[in-house]
Amino acid sequence: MATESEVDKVDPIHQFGITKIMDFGEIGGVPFAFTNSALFMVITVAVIALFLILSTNGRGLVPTRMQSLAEMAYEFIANMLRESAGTEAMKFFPLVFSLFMFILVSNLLGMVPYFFTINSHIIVTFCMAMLVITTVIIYGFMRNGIGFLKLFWPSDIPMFVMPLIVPIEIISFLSRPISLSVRLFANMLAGHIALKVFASFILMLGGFGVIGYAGAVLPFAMTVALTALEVLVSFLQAYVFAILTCMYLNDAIHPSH
Amino acid sequence: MADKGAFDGASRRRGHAGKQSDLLPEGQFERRLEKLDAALDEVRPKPQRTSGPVQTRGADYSNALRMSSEFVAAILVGTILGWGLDKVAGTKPWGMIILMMLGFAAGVMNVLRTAGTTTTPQSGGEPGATTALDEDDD
Repeated sequence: MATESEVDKVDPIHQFGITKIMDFGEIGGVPFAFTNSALFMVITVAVIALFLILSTNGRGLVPTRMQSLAEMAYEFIANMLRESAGTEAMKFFPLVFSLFMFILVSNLLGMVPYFFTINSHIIVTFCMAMLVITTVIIYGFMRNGIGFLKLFWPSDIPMFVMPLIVPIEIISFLSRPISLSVRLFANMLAGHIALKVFASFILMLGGFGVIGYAGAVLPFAMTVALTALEVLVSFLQAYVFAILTCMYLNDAIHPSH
Repeated sequence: MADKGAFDGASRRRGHAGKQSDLLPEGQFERRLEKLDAALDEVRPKPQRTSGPVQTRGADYSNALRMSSEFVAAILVGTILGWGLDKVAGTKPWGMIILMMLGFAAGVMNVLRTAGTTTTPQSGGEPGATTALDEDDD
C-alpha cells in the first residue's frame, strides 16, 4: 500500500485539481483546454446516452431489467414534473430529465476511486442553476408578460406590508440560484473531503504497527459508512435539484399563487 | 461502461412499442392511457408507486438540505445586495444593514415555505399546490 512518505502528504483537496489533458492555448487571454473535468462530463453524457439507447433498444412490451430501469427514471421525473408543475410543464421534461440524469450519473461516477467529481466545482453547479433560473425568467415573461411579476406580489396580504414583503420576495427569488448551486457543490465537496480524511486516518494509524491496526478498524468502519452515505447523497442531490427545478418552473407557469 | 454488454444482450427481446409517448400526439396518448388506467383499476388494486422507508427518509434528508442551504443563501444574497447598493449609492452602512435583515427575513420565509410543503399532503396533480404563498403565515 502506501509508504511512510506517502502517508505524510495525504492531501484531501488534491482530488479536485483541474489538469489540462489537451491544451488549445489561449483565446482572448483566457486559457482554453480540454481538462479532466471536461473529460468526465463527456464520459457522463456518454454513459447516460449508452444506458438509455441500449436499454430502450429492445422496446419490449414486457421490459427487460435494464429497460425497466430506464422507464423508472422516465416515470420518476415525469411524475415529479406533473405533480409539482402540472401537465403543461411536460414541455420542460427534456430539461429536467437531462439535469437529473447528468447530476446523478456524474455524482455516482465521482464515487469511483480516482474519478473526478464534476459537481465539486461551483462553476459547474452554478451554470446549471443559472440555466434553470434563466429558463424560468425567460419563459415566465414570455408566457405571462408583465404578470410574471405577480410572483413578487402575493395576493391576500394587506397593502401596508407590501413595501416589506416585495423586497423579501425579490431576495428570496435571487437566492434561488445561489442555494441551488451551493447545495450541490458543498455537499459533493464536503462529502469527498470527509471521505478522504477518514480514509487517510486508516493509513496514519496503520503506521503505528499492531496497535495501530486495531485502531484503524474504527476509521475504516467510518469510511465504509461514509461511502454509503455519499451514494445516498448523490441520489438525493440529483433529486433535490430536479424537484426544485420543477417547483421553479411551476412559478414560471403559474406566477400568481 | 463495463455493463454495456450485459444489457445489450438482455434487451434483445423485441415486442410491441411500449413507451413511446413522445412519438404520439399528446392528447391522443393521454386519452388512451386514461382508458387503460381505468380498465386496469377495475381489474386490480392500484400498485403503490412510492414505497419503502428509504424514500421517506430520503425526502426528510433532502428537506433538511434544502432548508439549511436556502436559509444561508437568502442571508448571503441580502448582504451582498446591500453591500453593492452601498458601493453604488454611497449609503455606507444602511443599505447593508437593512438588506441583511431583509435577507434574514427572506431566509426564514424560505425555510417556512419548505416546511409548509412537507406538512401539507401533496394533492396529486393540482398545479400550484406545493408552493402556496399563504402557507407561510402560520
